[in-house]
Amino acid sequence: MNAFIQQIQRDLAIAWASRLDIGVILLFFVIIVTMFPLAIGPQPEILRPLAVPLLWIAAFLSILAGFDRLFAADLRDGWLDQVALSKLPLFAYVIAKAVAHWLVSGLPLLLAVPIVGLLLQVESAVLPSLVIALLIGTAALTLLGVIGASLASGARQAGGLMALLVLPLALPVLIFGVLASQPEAGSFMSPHLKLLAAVLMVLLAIAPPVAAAALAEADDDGGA
Amino acid sequence: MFDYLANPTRFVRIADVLFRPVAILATGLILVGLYFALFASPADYQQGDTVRIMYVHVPAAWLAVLGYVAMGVCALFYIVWRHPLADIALRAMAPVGALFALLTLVTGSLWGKPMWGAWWVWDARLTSMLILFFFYVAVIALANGFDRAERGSRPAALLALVGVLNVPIVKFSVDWWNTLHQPASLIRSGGVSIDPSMLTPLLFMLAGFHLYFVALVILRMKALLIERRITSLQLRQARQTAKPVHPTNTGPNA
Repeated sequence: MNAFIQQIQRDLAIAWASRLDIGVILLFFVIIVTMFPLAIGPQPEILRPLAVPLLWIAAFLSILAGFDRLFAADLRDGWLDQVALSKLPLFAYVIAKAVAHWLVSGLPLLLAVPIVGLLLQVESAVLPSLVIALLIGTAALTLLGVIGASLASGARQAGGLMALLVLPLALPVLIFGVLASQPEAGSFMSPHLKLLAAVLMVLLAIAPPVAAAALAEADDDGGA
Repeated sequence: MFDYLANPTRFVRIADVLFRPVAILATGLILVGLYFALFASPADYQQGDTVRIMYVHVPAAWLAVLGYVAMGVCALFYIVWRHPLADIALRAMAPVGALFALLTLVTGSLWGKPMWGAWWVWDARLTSMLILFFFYVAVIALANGFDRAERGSRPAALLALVGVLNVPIVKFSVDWWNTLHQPASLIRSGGVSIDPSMLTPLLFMLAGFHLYFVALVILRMKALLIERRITSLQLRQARQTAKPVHPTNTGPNA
């Protein structure tokens, strides 16, 4: 457990050392959101019903954008070898990476949603359920990104390949997430939110072993 | 039995014996099935002659799903036992399965335009079949995405295994959601719900498509095994002819 916490602390320290990168992902998110009103047209009555799905798509793309280098540095500089030799099991290392990555990329995005939502005329009544659904959705997407990044690490087109792997897997998250963001009677616990949480649970079960197996193979291959 | 087949040379020998009868039988069954489908079966009382698209659509969809399951089994064999032939089989099945998934989508689209009035609807079954196709493409891309071909085997197998989660969604989408796509009519509780005159061509086509799948996979597996052997021979030759760059650099062939 100690090693697990230390792994998270290490990743957070590295992220803090290059904290401008967090801003880049956040800005990417804002710019995608800005593009929609410019492309669709600025009328509030057109934007308002589209706001929630558009925010989800923007959140998806900006979270995915931060993933292709997730394991690359650890593979290259031998950190993964050290982890393999340490008491920290590989799947716990994967979970630690996911937690740290979510704190760095998912959480800022979540905090930005209420403000960015204003750009798309999101009604304030929708905001709580939207943020809660995005909280679960970004966590699920982070686990999917971990699967994609570990499978594609070392490939020629790691970035593009990762998107190709993750997007089909991410569709249930998108479908249930958008539905859970707009509950009918304004109550949080819609059936879709429960389904979204169920997807997160399934991913929590399969992502660590799959990513650990893929990373073991990538490590055998002598790094990225 | 799996150990017995692990020897590639032995596999090629068995495949050579199997391929011809399987291919001939597949061609025969499909030809007979096509005769029944196009000439010796009635037009549907509602759909008219467009119902004949079903005789290609249903077997293709069947094989797309079954092919993915077979690929998932190969993936499991490769991950758990590192069976070399399982990797070859997975690589052989992926493009064939993708082809069937694409064929399903295209024939369904051709049928949908006159019947539903649209080339595409965002129906649960159509969407899940499209996702199945995406999975096939992703497995193919991942298996071939690395500089050293064998390096992609394990990631592709892992992805194929994760994608198996989608298979029950494809199969049961028509039961779980109230969809535009018609529900199952062959394997369902309460027995087959198709008239014998339409069942005959369908069963011939189904059997033919199954054997066609097997024949294609055998052919591709053989080709992949030969390809690997050529690559390893070329590598060996390159190593033998290569001269060390520096006389002091004592490599394994210096």
